[in-house]
Amino acid sequence: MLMISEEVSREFAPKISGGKPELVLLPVDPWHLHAYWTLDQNPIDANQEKKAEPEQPLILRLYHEIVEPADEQQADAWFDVVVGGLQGQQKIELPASSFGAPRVSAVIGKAVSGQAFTVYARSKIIPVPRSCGGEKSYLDHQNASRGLPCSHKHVSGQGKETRS
Amino acid sequence: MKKNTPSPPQAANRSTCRQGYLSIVLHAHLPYVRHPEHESFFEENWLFEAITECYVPLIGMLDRLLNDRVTFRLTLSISPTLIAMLSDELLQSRYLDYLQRRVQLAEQEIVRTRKQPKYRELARLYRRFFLHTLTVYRERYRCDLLAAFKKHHAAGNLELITTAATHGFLPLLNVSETAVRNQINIGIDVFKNTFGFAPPGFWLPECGYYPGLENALKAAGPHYFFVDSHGITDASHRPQQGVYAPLDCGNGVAAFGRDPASSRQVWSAQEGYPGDADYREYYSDIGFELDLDYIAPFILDGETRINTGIKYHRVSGGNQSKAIYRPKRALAKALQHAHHFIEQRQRQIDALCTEMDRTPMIVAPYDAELFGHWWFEGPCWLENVIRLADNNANGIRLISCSDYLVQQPSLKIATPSASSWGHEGYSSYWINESNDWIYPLVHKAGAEMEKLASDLQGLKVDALQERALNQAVRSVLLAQASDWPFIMKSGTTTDYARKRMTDHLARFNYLHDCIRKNRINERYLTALEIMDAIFPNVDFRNYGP
Repeated sequence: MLMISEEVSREFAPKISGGKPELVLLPVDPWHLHAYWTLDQNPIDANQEKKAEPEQPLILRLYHEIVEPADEQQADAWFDVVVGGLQGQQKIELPASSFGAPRVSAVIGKAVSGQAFTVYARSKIIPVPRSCGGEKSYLDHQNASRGLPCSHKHVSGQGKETRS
Repeated sequence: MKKNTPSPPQAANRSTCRQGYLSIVLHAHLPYVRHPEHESFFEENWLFEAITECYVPLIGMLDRLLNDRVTFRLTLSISPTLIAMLSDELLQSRYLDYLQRRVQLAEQEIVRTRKQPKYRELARLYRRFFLHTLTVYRERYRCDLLAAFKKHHAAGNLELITTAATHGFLPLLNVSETAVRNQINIGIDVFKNTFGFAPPGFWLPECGYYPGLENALKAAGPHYFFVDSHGITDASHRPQQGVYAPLDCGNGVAAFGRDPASSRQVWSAQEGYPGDADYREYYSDIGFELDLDYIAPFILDGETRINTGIKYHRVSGGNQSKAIYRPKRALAKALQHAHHFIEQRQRQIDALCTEMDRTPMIVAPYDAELFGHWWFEGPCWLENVIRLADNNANGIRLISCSDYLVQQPSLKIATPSASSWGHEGYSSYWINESNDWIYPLVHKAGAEMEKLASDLQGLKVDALQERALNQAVRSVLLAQASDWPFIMKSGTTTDYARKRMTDHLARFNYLHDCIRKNRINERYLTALEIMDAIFPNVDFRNYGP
């Protein structure tokens, strides 16, 4: 049994292989997302040659829903983050303008010829955790009980121990 | 038998009610740690220590309360992986060996400490403790602790619920509805097959919630779940009742919020009861303190020091050297802390009653393994809390969430906010620089399993293919456990967590490959089935989109 286990682990070790292009967003907290992506090299090369322009960086463009209609005039509906690699992942800090946006989505691609943006992969729309911060209800004041100091929180799995 | 349904407290009379509900919820979970491919395996001790220090003492407490006809309701969430391990014959047998080794070590300690009377007294106490555990486990419950929990459920004192199949952290599995649905449904199926009824509530692993998750729960059957405090206070409509009344998520499924004050008194490293100087010190263990030659037969491979469960010191205080543990004094402190806890809840209820339009509900959820394992006197504290709450002089009624929903059928409607009870309150403990590499791999395996199930939909598969397909689902589920990224971040047994993650993914890759090529090696498949012998009723067809 042990030999089979070791052989399977050795011969079938997990790896990210090139498949269809994908971009996945994961929620971290109200201020951060995590993105990972796998892209196909060919269309990127072809696009580069066609445009005959200096190589442009890969850009992750995040779109966030506008919460208040009045904000539409002021807030950008997206923001860009320069990323690298055909396969990669990165923690993304959301700009203040997108705090409170209920949902975000993203594309990954390259800016070419001024305003044009070539998209290589699109994410699904994901909800972003909401934080109301600041305000406290009467219950919170009375009991001084709004939230624990996070550093003192514990989580499940307390039965797991250290070996040393 | 006393009737356990709590009498309705006074109706919403704002200034005079002085009565409220308290729901204590214990979540019992350990990752699936079972290694038949090895003669013995260190991480299986996680289970053995939890049985010895938590689950058997908890059952002992339930037995005493039942015998004494104390009126109470306690909620216990038992994870499907823990259910599988508690009912596994190999682990039951290995646990008996473990206990006998503990008895042997305690006897050896009685001899070693013959010239140190106070230590010898403690060594005798440990011997009695291990022997008692052995008797309870082997003779009274015939190695079947789940039957004991079932008995207390039948007696009306214990509300039993469950959680996701392998405790997958659902906000980070939500790239696939299928993954979330299977974590929930398989968890519930395991529970039903074990206990013979559907769980009324559902423990979201790590209280990890995202808006929309209530729909998957509604489809699966449970009527309620728990979120951390900010899941309620940051809800779509700010609830006037704070965390002291549940929300209806809009589909009839209720979300109960954790009370921060109750949590802080037990959990907090600074203010929490377990840090009191009189309690037993978890980190003082003879496995790390005695000469290697002496302790070698009881540690890992005779050379790597591990906890033995024999601990002679108390927390003490400040920078003092650790003083010897005094059990009677520690138990007296547990009673004192139980009084304090009940007094604080009563004060909370008094304050809440002046403002709320309904009977306040205080929800106090904890990891079950805190009680006994990390906090040795925790079971004693809990028993005292329950006995004190049964005193009619105070306005506290212990209740389960199901009882509450019967009493208060009309709830405010709002959607909780995405949240967890982990560090920083969201998902960051489970996705960060230490563990983010797992997600592309885990999601990819899930997507491939989904595709496999979809491609085979409606097609006939033979018995061997069916076994391989079901085993592939088990591998995906085991790779989805929240425990592996948790350990990677906490920095404890990280090599083991990484190995478990990559082993399960490799096993999936192997099975996927041989199913696609229709070249299934039965000997290899059988080996994988023996090693990951969990979820016997899993059906790969349910992993279709």
